[in-house]
Amino acid sequence: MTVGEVAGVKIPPGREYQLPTDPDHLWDGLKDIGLGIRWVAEVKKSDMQIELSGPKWEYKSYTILEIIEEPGKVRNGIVTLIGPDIHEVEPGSSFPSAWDIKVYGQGITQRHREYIERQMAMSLHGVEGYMAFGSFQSPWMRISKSVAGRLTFAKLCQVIHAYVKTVVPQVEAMEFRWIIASPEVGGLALIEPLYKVGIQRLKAQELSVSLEDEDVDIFYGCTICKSLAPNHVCVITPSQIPYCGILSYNGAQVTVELDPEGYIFPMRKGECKDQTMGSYTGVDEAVYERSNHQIKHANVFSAIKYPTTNCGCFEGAAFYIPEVDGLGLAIRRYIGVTPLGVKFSRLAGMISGGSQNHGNKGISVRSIQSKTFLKGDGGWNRIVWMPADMKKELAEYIPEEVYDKIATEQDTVDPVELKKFLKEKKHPIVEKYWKDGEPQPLKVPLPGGDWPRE
Amino acid sequence: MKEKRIAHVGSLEVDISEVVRDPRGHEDEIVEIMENDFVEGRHSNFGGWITLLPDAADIAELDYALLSRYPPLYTDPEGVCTDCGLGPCNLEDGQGKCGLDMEALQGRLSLRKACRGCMTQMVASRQLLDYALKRWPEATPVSMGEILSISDHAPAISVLSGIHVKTIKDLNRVLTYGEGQLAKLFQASYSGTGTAVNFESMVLHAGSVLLLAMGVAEMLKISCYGFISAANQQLDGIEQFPPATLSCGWASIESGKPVVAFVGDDFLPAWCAVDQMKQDALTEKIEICGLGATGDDIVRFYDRGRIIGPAVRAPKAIRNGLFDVVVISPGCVPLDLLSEAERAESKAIWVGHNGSGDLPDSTDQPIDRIVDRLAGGEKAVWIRDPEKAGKVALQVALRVKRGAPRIISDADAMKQAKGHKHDCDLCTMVCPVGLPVSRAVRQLSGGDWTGFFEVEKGCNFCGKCEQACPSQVHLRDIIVAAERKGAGNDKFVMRPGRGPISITELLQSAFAVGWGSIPAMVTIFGCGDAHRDEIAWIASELLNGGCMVFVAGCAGAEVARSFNQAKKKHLFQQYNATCASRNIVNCGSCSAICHAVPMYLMLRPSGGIPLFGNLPPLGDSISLGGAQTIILWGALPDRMYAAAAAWARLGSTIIVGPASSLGWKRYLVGNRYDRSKWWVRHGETGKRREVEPVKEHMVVPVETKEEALTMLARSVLNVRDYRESRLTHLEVLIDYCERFYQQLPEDWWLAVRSDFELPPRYRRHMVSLLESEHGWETEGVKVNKARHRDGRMMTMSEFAANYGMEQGIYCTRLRSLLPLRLRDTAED
Repeated sequence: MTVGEVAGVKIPPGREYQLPTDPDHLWDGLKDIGLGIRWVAEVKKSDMQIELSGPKWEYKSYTILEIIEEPGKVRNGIVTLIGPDIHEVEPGSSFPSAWDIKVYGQGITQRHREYIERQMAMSLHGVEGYMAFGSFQSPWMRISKSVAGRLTFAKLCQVIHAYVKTVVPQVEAMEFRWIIASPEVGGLALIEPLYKVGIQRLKAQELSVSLEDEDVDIFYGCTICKSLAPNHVCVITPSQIPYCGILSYNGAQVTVELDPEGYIFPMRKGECKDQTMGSYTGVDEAVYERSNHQIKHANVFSAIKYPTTNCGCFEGAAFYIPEVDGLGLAIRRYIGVTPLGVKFSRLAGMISGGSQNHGNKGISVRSIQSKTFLKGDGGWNRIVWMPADMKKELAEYIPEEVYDKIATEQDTVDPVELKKFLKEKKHPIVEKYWKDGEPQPLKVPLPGGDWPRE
Repeated sequence: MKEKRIAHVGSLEVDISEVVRDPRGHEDEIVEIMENDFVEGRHSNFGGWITLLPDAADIAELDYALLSRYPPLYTDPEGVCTDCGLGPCNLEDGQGKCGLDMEALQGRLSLRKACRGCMTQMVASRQLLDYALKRWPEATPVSMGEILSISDHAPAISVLSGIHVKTIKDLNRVLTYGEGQLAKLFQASYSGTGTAVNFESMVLHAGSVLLLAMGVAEMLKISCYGFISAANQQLDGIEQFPPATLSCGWASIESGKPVVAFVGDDFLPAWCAVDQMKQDALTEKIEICGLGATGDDIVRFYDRGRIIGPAVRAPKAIRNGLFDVVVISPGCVPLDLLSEAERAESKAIWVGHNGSGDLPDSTDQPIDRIVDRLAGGEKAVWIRDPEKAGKVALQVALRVKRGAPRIISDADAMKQAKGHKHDCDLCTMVCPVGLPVSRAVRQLSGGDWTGFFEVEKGCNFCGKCEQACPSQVHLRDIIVAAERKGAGNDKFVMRPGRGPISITELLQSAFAVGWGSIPAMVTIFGCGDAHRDEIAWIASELLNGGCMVFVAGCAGAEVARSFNQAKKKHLFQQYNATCASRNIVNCGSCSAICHAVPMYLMLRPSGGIPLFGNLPPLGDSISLGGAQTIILWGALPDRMYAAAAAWARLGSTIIVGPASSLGWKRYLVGNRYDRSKWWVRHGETGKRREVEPVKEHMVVPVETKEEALTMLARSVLNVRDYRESRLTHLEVLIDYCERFYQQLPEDWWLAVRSDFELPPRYRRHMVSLLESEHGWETEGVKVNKARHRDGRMMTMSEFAANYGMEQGIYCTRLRSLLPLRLRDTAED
């Protein structure tokens, strides 16, 4: 059933366009638009011709990419535009929108969806005068007045169509339906029921490909930063994405499939030695081989004991605070002092360059949302400090019972004060890790060193 | 025997004597640097070295690696050497008496030019330092700003010297080192022997020494002289720091007020004058203008300062006659400004350390007396004390009542133009920048000034046209009159220089640079002047194309003049000013070049490369993997020649514009066809690997602004390109070539490692060309087999292992930068 049918909404008819589907002519007619990732730009409100979705519509809009695995169900190169085109609206207009994109290709499965979505995003971001924020579930798009005479919604679809078919040649057919919900078309009243169904579909899609570390035999490694940080090896598992946050397990898998000579490589998981710490024989072997024989053992879920190496591109870092036997978190844009007495920039400098720095680990913002986040160290029960902005941003992923017990720079950056704070707030660390109300600091080995045998 | 000193680098205990050949009493500091700036992982793998206060030879391994790929190419060579009393030697007939051959002489002359350039900054920095030592205790703390950490607080100084500067005394130490190095280089530039490459290695060192001298000046400006610094700002809001609200240009001067102009490199008289104005509540009563470096400096400590133009424009500006007092210091170029001031009846104060003409030294005379002399009719005085010079300038400005500026009248100009020889084109023929002067004269004889408006824009005021004119037309007076007519509209809004950049700020964009969505980090240096429209065009194109743009020197104010009619905004008002795509950062005057595009700052956290006494890994790394390019445009003094060398040694490509290249006789160019030059060492095996001829040149001339952009696109293609960045860099190159020349670049296929890196929009076409023109095996948008440059057909995995570096593997050109386990065994 279509989204409209499920939502019980009658969708008005639209205009149909046929995009060129001959492989030699996919890009025809696009010469008057700047294309390429360097065209990524901001479109200010005063410069916009049209805005789709965004905060004005409480993000009640969607973009859905559906992988259709049955042949013959996707009308190749057809764009159905329901509502006005870019040049047909008053400059500065804003409407909610619903964008359905269907893809078919032999061998293209749900697994490829994230990869294709990324290629779609890459192609769209690189269109002159187009700006997009937010995810597919909460899109926010603007198109600049400067391209209003040249760019149409069909052309935007053509860019995606041509780009995706070029970079994923297995894709055979793509079809687009784009509802630009001006008041004449039905406005938010039309989109809202569609949105509800659409969001459910997006969530169902997520679930259909979500994997646990236990579900797979192969992890992936990435050494892109090795050209600068020669000992570094990143380990990508279903629950642990790289520190830089640029791709997920599925993305890594498809990347290797399509580009076997690239910088991402399969890593045998091997035998699980310790599930809590995330210790695997295959990971140890691969890390040893690719770290100039410098790192013998790496735990995927720990910042304290044998963490994986740190490149220099991490979005944030977890760091051990001995005075409270807990972990602090910080992200790059936090420029204040941490409870270690240093700023993030100094901390980053100290732990980067491909070393195994016990007590310190690069982190990506998305990995903080994972269930296995620092599981080996006690997870959120061990996290005692983070910048206020970061805490607010990640609020939904922090267990409610711990949220108020994690200090920020607005509470203190002094370890002595922090200790008092944790006691007062009854942070779980006091009960679970401290002894008689006193922290028991670990004697953390120096970088590259070994922990005493337990 | 000295006590053994140990530094803790992570878990390692390192004897500092393993790291520094001769600590020279700096043991405590070296321990501090090692413990704060060394990373254990890197140290255990590569070892480490601090080349403390090095001679050129100490770090020449990098130079020779660079120069072997980019050998010097000399144009218009000198054949006769007259450097010593044994000569002259005609080297066209063979070697000279000292053994020097003709090419080596060009190298020696190149070194001399670099030393001259370095010296102008060295003297200016010494002037600032001596004055600081006079005013403040040696132990006064200094820094580039409060939010910088040890690693990024002064890389221009620390990367070469290995010194962690904390006080004025430290600055004196590093500048003394720099002066010593310059003396050694100067000596070699007159009596050194050897090959051209030997000399060019020293040219690169002269560049590094220049950067150090610039760093010293910048640190003093920020710490002692109250210049604004972005490193004293929180990162929130840095994109608008400082605000783009400064009014500059002729029309920004408020009429009716006395005007004092400061010209040259030495801002101290202006700084003292502004201090005095604030004390005496004169800021509303006197207008302060600046030309050249001083102008760019004034606006960093005085928000009512007015930049009028670059130093090379000063003679024309002074003859314009709007300045009541002109304070003149030595600058980057020698100009006869005292004569111009006299001609315009402006009072002149010469503040140079050496005398000028027959001006008596009035430094020790009481201020009142000097003021009386100038107010009473004397035209110029010489004062070596900046404080006194500043006070005198203000008092004279308040006392002297000048009449209307002496500009040639329209009637007189037309009369002169009518009197010219009608069939004569001498003025046009002798003009070094080819301006259509004779046509302008003919037009003016009919009352039409259009031609002279055009000539004025391009004129460097060299006066050759006037000397050549058989009819004695006062061409320069007419040119000044043309400028005067346009002065009423010459008003622009700009963002003053902001000083340094922090690692934290830069790393916000590390990904975008690494992945190519910022195709390049580009710095534009130069005087602008006649070429300011071209500079502004280049800057706008780069910004629209998503680059991160930096400007420094007079180019900053020159690009600021660019006005977008549609947006009704000047350039700095249109763009933000942080290290990000579509941002333009004005670093400041010439000395602020040392802040611009510090790709090396990115390598500190991402590669763990220390920034103290450690040039080779930085230069090597950036030359193999940095999307950082410098564009030099306009009439350039020798200082820019040395600045180009500094950035070349740090791995950047330097693109030299047409006017500048007239005065330059040496380029460092690569040869894409010579396959023996294009190799790196594989970081895991130590073996040599053939790579693509990318980042083709190091210092390269271009003839047009369009060529500058295509060359820029070539310069950011690099061996360490990731998949995505190679794609973007190729796409930019192809876009420019298609747009400007309607064709693909002829060598694009040499940069192909995988079909994944071909821009999607062009991929099908490029893949088909690989098959039809280069014999590769392809299918649709996929390459099945590649043909190596040696002719062999290979699968894509074989190709990845034989041509270009595999993705995500460390590589280097220097044996000393291989991991320790490979260093001694790697084959040559």
